[in-house]
Amino acid sequence: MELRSIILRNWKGYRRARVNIPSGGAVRNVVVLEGYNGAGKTSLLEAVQLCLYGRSSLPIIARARDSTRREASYDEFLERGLNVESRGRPERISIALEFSSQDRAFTLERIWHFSGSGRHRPQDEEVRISVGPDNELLELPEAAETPAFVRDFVARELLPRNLAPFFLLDGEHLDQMAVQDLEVQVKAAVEAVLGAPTLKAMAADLRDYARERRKQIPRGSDRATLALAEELASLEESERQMVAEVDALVEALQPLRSERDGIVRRIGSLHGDSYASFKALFEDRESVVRARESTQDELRRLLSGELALALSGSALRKRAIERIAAEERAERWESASAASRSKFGEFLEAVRHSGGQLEEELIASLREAWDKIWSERPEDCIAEVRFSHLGETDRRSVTQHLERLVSVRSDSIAELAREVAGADLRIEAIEREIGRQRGLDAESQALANTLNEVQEKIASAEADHRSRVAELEGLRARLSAKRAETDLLLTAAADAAPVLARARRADLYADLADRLIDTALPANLEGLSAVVTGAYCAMAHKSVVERVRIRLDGGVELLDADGADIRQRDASAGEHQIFALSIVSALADLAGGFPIIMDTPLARLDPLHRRNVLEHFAGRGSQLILLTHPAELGPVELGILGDRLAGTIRVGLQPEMTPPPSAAEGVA
Amino acid sequence: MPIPLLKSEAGRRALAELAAERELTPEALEALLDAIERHAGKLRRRSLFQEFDSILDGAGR
Repeated sequence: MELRSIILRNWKGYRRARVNIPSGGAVRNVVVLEGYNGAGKTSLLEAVQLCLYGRSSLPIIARARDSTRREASYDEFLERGLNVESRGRPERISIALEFSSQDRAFTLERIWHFSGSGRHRPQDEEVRISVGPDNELLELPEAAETPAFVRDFVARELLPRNLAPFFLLDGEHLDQMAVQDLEVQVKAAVEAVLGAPTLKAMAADLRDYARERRKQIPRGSDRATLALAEELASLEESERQMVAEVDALVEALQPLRSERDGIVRRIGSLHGDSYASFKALFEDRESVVRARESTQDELRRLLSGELALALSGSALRKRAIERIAAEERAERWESASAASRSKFGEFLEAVRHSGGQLEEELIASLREAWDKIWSERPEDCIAEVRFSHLGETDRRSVTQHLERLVSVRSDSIAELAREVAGADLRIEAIEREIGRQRGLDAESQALANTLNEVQEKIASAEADHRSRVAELEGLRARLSAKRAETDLLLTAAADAAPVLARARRADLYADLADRLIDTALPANLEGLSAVVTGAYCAMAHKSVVERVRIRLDGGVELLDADGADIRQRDASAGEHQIFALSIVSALADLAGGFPIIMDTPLARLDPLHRRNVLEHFAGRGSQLILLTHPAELGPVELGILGDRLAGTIRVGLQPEMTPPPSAAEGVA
Repeated sequence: MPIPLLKSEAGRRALAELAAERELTPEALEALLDAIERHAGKLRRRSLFQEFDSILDGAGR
């Protein structure tokens, strides 16, 4: 990637300027921007830093401090940077950088707006990115999201911010870099150059993903399924017990009925009446007694509990029944809709697996169509479920109860009472007829008493039987509803299972990424240390350093043959500078791609170091832009650069130093 | 495109060992990294997460 031009408006001494940088590829890779003190060389370096990183560039801009070394605020720094002639009216600073490589080209432009009083506010900043040969403007997200978008774009396409101090260098401060905050900067740069931030970003994204996917699963569904399964098992056990009790009651009835039939037969034979007519009377009596008991039970139930509810009015009960039905429909739809969403996810995956490309817009259209076909909200589906605490069984039970009450009225209660009284009269009449038939002799009387006892036992056993059968029916209705409820939950759980499995795997891969950084980073430092050693040995003319070691905390040691760190000894500013440049060179080799821009890199170096540095950096083959004072690059140095030099551009704010239009179209 | 950390011999070895310990696959991790790279700078997470869905299906235990 080469920097092809810097376009400035109202930035420091530049009212309007365009600095075109000649492209020489890997062979003629050095460009010199030459200017006297105050010509605006450092302003150009700052423009590049500011345009690339905006607010984040402040810590790496050496002059973003006042005379007391206090860090200036971003807004203050910009206000100081506004061209003097442009102050006093609403204006703007704009800096644009044009980059190109063999297959890519883009322009990054940052614009800062100022009020008439020369104030800049944080929100008055714009970024534009245009890509391709036609400078097609890239669509940026909303304002609040723009900084993160631009930061990621610059990191991906150009240079991560953590590496900027090693590529955009102010030579005046290189020696300070070697002794101040080096550990922090090297650590951040090493991590950046090895791709650790990408792994960290991946771990964070995977954890976000896992959290979001888990949110899609109805909360507590596992617990609910477990509770339902336990309830179901308990109900099934109750059913088994109740069926056994009902069977036992039926078995107990059989001998009683046989005994009763035997007594009836004997009484009939004593009086010469036919067994058939006597038996018919008994059966008639039993039938009336059962009907009376049933009516009596119903009457008791109505009078004891439901009369008030029954009298509440059919309209109110009807509305309650309709509401319950509507809520049941809504919950079924919600459940079906959740299952449909899950299926849609599977459908998308299947399409991708088969090589299909799905754009966001297409996915949105497909989702809309899918919802319309499979889970469109019915018109009669209410939005709010008030009685969400009611399970399906509860709903059914309440509905049945209310429906039963629809037929209950006050006159029906009187009717039931009349039926009981009528049954009593009918039983008396039948018993009189039975008494007439069985006679009044002692044997008949004894048989009659026995018959009554047996009959009472039968009636009691039959009542028990009826009661237990009714209970069994109720239990089976609840069982049926619970089974349906369980099926629904299990279906939802089955749909959720792949989602949960993916979320769990996402967490595992996030942990793997964290561990990988801890494990692989130290192992990679050896290789990086070797590259720094090579660069240092190529540039430094002292031979005491055997090797350079970069520690995990970013600390750098220059080790002599005895393993002692010579950085602990006094070193000159120039030696510090060589040391810093060797780290720059190594990181640049590993990161590759982005140009190195050095402002007055040679001023503090002796001639031999100058030669070494120029030879080393020019020989790397990637773009090297040197911002230099004319005295820095004499005939000897230019001779070293030789054919590597793609061009020299004069930078000047004074009219007589304005570069020619072919190289730098500057208007100060 | 693997990150430089994983291009090195030491990085590849560390990934293979750590992934095996966790019954995960190095290929899936690299696919996840590719997805991250492709979506870098894009703030809408939906398409990235959908890509995660696809990669994580069957990518280990």
